[in-house]
Amino acid sequence: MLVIKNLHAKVGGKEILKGIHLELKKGEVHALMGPNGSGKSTLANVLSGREDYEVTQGEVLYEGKSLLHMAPEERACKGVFQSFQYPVEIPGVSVTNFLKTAVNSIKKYRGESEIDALDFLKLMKEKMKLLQMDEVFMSRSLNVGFSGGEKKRNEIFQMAMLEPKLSILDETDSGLDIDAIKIVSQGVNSLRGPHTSFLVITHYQRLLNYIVPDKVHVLSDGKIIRSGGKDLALLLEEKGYDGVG
Amino acid sequence: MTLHTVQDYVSQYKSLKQSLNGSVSPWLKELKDSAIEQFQKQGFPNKKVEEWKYTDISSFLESSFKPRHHEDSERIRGDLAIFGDGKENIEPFIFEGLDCYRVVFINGLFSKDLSKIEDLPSQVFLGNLQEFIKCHPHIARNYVNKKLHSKKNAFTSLNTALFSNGACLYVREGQKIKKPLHFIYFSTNSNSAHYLRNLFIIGKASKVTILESFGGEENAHYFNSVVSQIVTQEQSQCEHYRFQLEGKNAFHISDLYFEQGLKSEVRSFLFGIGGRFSRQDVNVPFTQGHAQCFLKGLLKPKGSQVIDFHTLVEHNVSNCVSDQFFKAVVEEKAQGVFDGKIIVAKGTKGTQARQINKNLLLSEGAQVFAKPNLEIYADDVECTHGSSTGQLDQKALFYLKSRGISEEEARKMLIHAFVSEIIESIPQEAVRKKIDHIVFSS
Repeated sequence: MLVIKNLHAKVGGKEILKGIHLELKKGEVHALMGPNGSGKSTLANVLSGREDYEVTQGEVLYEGKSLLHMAPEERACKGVFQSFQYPVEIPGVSVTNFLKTAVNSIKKYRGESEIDALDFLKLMKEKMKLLQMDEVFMSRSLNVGFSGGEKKRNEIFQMAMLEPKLSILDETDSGLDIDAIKIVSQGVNSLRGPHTSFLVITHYQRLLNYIVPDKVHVLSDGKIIRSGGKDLALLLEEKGYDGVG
Repeated sequence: MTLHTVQDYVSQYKSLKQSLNGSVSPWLKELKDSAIEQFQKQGFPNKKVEEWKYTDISSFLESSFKPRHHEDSERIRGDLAIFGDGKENIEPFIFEGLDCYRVVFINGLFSKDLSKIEDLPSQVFLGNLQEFIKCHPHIARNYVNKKLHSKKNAFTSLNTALFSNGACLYVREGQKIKKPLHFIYFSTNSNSAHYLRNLFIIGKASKVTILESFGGEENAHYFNSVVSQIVTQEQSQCEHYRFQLEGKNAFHISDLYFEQGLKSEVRSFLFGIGGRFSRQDVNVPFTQGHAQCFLKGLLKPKGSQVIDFHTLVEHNVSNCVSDQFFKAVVEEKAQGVFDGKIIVAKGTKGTQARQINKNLLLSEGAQVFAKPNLEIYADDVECTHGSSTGQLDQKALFYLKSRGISEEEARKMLIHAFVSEIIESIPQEAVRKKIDHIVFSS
């Protein structure tokens, strides 16, 4: 699904990623952990196609094709989704209108016909229920006036609506209380299957109690310094990042 | 290229005067004489005049427009014959699903055939100003007078001198007119100048909705000069819409006055979309207390268009409310101007005045001149204002694209979001839909 080879990237002239190797297979969930400033978010942003990040070396293959050469919208249309750490507020664009345009853009890209208005509404309601979101959000402007937790829930709601093959969750748990973490995890777990893959970027082990990963990677100073099974996260929790280096 | 001079327009007035041949009442003749005199004194405004600092009229002065007079019967027949059987030219301006009374002017001339003024309540006059002056000279005289051309605007003086007709509405006391009144001013490729003088009087405690659409053949070259007075008497309510959708080569210069009575309420939506060059002045000189005026405007110039809005709100008396909300979206090499002035007179109390202006520039060559201008000489005032100009939010654009939405569609969504604050607040659904379509297809 996703192969990252020797990835180096700069932000504002400073090298942040210093040679990342990672392979995420179809149906797998990997957790990427690491202290602040280790490069977790930079990796997520490079994968989503943010322009202010400069890749200086290496490559990223998604389903065998170079992901870095695709425009952000093309990545999404091909089934890549990122849950942002800080979702943008967009006044005047309603959640419904936004998602309908997104769903139909992706369908158009894949040569499918547009979704029927009633089917769309049904789908929205179903996914909102899954994430325990109030239906009033449908008509509200995107992320405007949403609390931190509501924004994160809205990200996972979008993921549920777009049904991506590869999802990158960038610190989706930060700012969430334990109940919200359970709800968000439920949303993620409902999409887990033999054809979907997840890269879960997190600072803390607790999210991984609910989204149990197949593999855990530890990122430090722009490199993966250790990989292992789900127990590695528990070890981290116990010994801290210094203890596993 | 030779520029047309004040003298050229004065000669036009002289020949018009001859053709009038005493068919105009002495008071109106006197008014017109004084207006042309005023115009001569004022001359065409140049960039040294504060109110015209951002508005370069040289493209107007380079253009030749034939004057048109109501006596010119052969031409009238010619113009109207084009529209005699087909209504297709005014079709684009009609609001689907909205049953309206309709008054149509073609090249500044009243068209009875295209108008729809049957079944009006007897308390209402709807039609053209010429006829109104004939039927109600004393009422007309109260409003069509020297008051307006004492102002700085030379184009208003010129209009007063050269107009022969215009739209007219007179609603007596206590009339709530359910059907909106739609005024369509359509122009063909006539190379002519149309001087329209419009008078709308809404009687005490009456309520009306006025829609005005200005438009023309796509590449038609013409000049529309428009002076309008909307008089709202005590406790009356007026919902007003103006769609400036002139043809691509057209010039449009208008001066609009809201003359509000005690406790009257005006809600006006102003759209500047068409024309090669347009300048719209909107004046709210409060002289009666407890009146409220809400102005919302949207300017959307593209190509090399110039769209200019000037507002002047004068709180001359206590306890009035004014609220202005103007947005501009400027594309390509176009230019937008919003110059909004609020004056709160000394000794007045309880004024509430608000003015918000937000502008969006979509390309490097696009320009906007925003000039909020407040002169407050009273203490007891609640006054807020703000002006901002920016570009599309790159972070928002990226967010939309990251969900699979194309660059083009994402830009469209963000522009839509920017103007929706104005469009979504339109109470009439048919109008809202129509303007939404116009804004995004133009």
